[in-house]
Amino acid sequence: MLQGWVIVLASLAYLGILFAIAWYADHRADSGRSLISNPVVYALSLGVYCTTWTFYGSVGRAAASGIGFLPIYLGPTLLFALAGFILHKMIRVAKANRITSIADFVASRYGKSQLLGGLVTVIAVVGVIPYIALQLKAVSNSFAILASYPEIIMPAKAGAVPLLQDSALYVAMILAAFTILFGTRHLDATERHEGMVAAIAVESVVKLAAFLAVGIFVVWGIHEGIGRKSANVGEATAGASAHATP
Amino acid sequence: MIRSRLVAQRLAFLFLLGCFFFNYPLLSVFNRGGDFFGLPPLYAWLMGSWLALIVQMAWVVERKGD
Repeated sequence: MLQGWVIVLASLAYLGILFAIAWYADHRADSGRSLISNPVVYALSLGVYCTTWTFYGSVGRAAASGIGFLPIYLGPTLLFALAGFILHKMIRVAKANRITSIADFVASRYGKSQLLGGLVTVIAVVGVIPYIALQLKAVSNSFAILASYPEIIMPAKAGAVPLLQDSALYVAMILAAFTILFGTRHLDATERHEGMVAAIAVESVVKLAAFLAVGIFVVWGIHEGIGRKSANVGEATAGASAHATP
Repeated sequence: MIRSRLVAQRLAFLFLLGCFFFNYPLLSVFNRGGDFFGLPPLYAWLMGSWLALIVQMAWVVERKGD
């Protein structure tokens, strides 16, 4: 049985390592020997779109509907064929006009309309709140699942606690404090957040290892290798789709 | 300039090719029973064509001289 404090300590240690990496990368950037001007690091940092919830979302979707988890990854791959046109142009516009947010970007495309900028801000905030909530719930659910380990609890059950006992609330407060301290104190469009990118790249390696571990466990731990696994896919999909919720 | 336009055209082609690969009717062609090196045909198709698309994109972007 894992004690609560072990999990908290491990999380804080991990966060500390990420901060150390970020600090080191910033330090290297200041001395002109950038860590992140490297295609591998850049590619890994793109893994930022693979969020905390992805671990439940993608694995859950693969368990419930088989190949149905894949389009989330096919789409970005396809779009990156066009990155040269779209992303490059966006970056050029953003740099030329010193733009730091999507609201400024859209507004600047339509004659610097303040009304439009405000509207985009509201839409972005309303759109992203449930998404952030999901990420926080993923963190607190993981905590609950790990803390009660020998007993296996489902994420839905783990999330059903009163507000003040919900670790998601405290996670949110800690993250807000970190963001205020490190993220928003100085805002400059020309500044490159090298440390942040490096930390995200390292996180992506951790995520990759976690997903590979799940994959290896499912294929060789639960089933007996790839051939046997795929023979089970048909039956499992038929069984799961009867009570799957998207 | 001419070379970068050529690269752009090839990438746009690969985007459209990918849209074709990952959509119907091709998916329904492979969505059948059977076995392709131990994998269901649909899985083998999606994973294989995904990999092929990435390799081709890398090749288009990285190749030197034309």
